Amino acid sequence: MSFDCSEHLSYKVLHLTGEIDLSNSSKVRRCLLDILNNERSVIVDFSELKYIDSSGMATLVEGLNIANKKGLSLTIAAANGAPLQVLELTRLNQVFKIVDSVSEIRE
Amino acid sequence: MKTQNLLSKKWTSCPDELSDIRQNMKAICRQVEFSEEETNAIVLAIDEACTNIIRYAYKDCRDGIVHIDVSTDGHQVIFRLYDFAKHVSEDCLKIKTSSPLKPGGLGVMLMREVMDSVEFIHTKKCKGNILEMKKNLPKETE
Repeated sequence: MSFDCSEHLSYKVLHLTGEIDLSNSSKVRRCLLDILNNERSVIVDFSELKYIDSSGMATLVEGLNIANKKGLSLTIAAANGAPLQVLELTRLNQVFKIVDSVSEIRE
Repeated sequence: MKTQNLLSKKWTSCPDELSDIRQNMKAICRQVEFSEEETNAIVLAIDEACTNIIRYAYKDCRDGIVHIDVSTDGHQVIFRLYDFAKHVSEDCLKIKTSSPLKPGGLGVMLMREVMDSVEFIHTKKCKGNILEMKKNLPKETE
């Protein structure tokens, strides 16, 4: 698993690559919380994400709760394959704002 | 049909092993011809069960053993996950919350959503826990 960040308009974009599970979800959590602590809304880019388990999803839920409290947003972009299935199985697809691509997000 | 063993393998209770466990489960699911979608879901359910063993049975201690047996009777695939930690309560398999925004319980919810049955098999003969999960095989199309 690897991740990096870029900018899109006023948003920070967190690009996730590979597989997220118990062995590495804490690294994603630290990065996500850093972004939110800097008062930035975030787009989490799933386009290169192959797998995510409940520890990864719990990290995103925690991030969403923090974003909501701060008046920020957390959006998931380009979910596909197994990660999209996880969103559907947990019904978190009804909780997160999900868009087809990062470029779809406008100010 | 006689029960056919598909896999019997041990891993340590280290989170780094989860990737290899997933690869093994994916290979079995393809062998018995689950669809790609069912395969993804079953791999996820087994991963969640192993994560719970690591976190709650072994309490993040990395030198425990996770033993997985997979077999089929021709109607179902039976996944048995053995650990050798202290007995855990049956309550671990209860879904804790109905709100996805509250922490905890997502893994158990996923296991129950994906599998046709999920239960502990209690035995006084051996130390540890046996979690049995069953998934019906895809029906053959005519």
